[in-house]
Amino acid sequence: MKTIAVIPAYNEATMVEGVVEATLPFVDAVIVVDDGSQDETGGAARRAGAHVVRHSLNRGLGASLGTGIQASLAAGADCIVTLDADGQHDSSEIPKLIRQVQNGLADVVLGSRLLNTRGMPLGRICMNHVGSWFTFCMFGMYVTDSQSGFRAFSRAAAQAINIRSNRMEVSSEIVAEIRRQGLRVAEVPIRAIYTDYSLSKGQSFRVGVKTACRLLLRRLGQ
Amino acid sequence: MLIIQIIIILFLLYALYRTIGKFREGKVRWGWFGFWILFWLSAGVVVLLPETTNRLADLVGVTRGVDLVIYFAIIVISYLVFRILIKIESLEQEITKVVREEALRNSKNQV
Repeated sequence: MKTIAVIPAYNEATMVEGVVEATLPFVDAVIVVDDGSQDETGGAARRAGAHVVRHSLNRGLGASLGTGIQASLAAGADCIVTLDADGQHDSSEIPKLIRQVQNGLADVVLGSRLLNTRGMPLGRICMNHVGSWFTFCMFGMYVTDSQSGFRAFSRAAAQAINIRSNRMEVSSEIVAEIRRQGLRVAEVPIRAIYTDYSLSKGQSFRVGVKTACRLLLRRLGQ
Repeated sequence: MLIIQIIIILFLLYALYRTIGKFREGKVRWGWFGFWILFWLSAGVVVLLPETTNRLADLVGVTRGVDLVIYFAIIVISYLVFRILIKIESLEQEITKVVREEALRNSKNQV
């Protein structure tokens, strides 16, 4: 089963090389989607052994995930793993994430930080609970960590999911798509590595509010 | 005629002129052209004959004509803002589509 990791990255030259090197042992290939970075993100990812797909303009997390998934499907991936470029995710947990997809027990596996909150700042725990409940209210599906970027998809699930979001609201949209497509979903506990750097890259309260407004607009437009 | 009526009429004439100009350039479709012409002409009628709003207000159960104009303006503006936001979202998706196609084309056969 060919497994490809998709890592969306924007201005992550300092971190992406380490993330790619840590990920390669657990997958067959790594695709880094350089989302219009102004630094050496693409070069650093290539040096580490990743295949780089570069957006000429910054389009956002959702757009980058869509591009990465499309590239993975074109490359013949049977299983696609997504993870963040800021070092928040522990790549050694990839086998845990893809096991149920490989065994055919789930179409989508979501890594949940809220099933194991050790080391997680209280503010982030609260915000993620709010995010998950908001996603449930908007789209009728509850998962413990709707905003997690650590996920695994079967090929069929990746083909079925239609990502239209450009920015960070994509996480909630993926949950909505899981429900809409009737996909089998499983959650596994994952460890979140919080540093000052990864905290600065995540969703702040202001970004969270903007994300919620975009989701509301999307829901009204459906 | 009051000064404010003259100022608004002049603005409405300018708005009509710009709307017709944009239609001739092909930048406004028939439907929206009709809407805006009707809108500017209606605004002209309201400005020149303000008592018409009082009659309309009586008809729909609002006390004052000016209140009716404000309620109507709020509804129209809110709807237009909603349409603009939807259009922006659509444009964002189209831009992403173009950027993605270019990115995938440039990286073909790498993986």
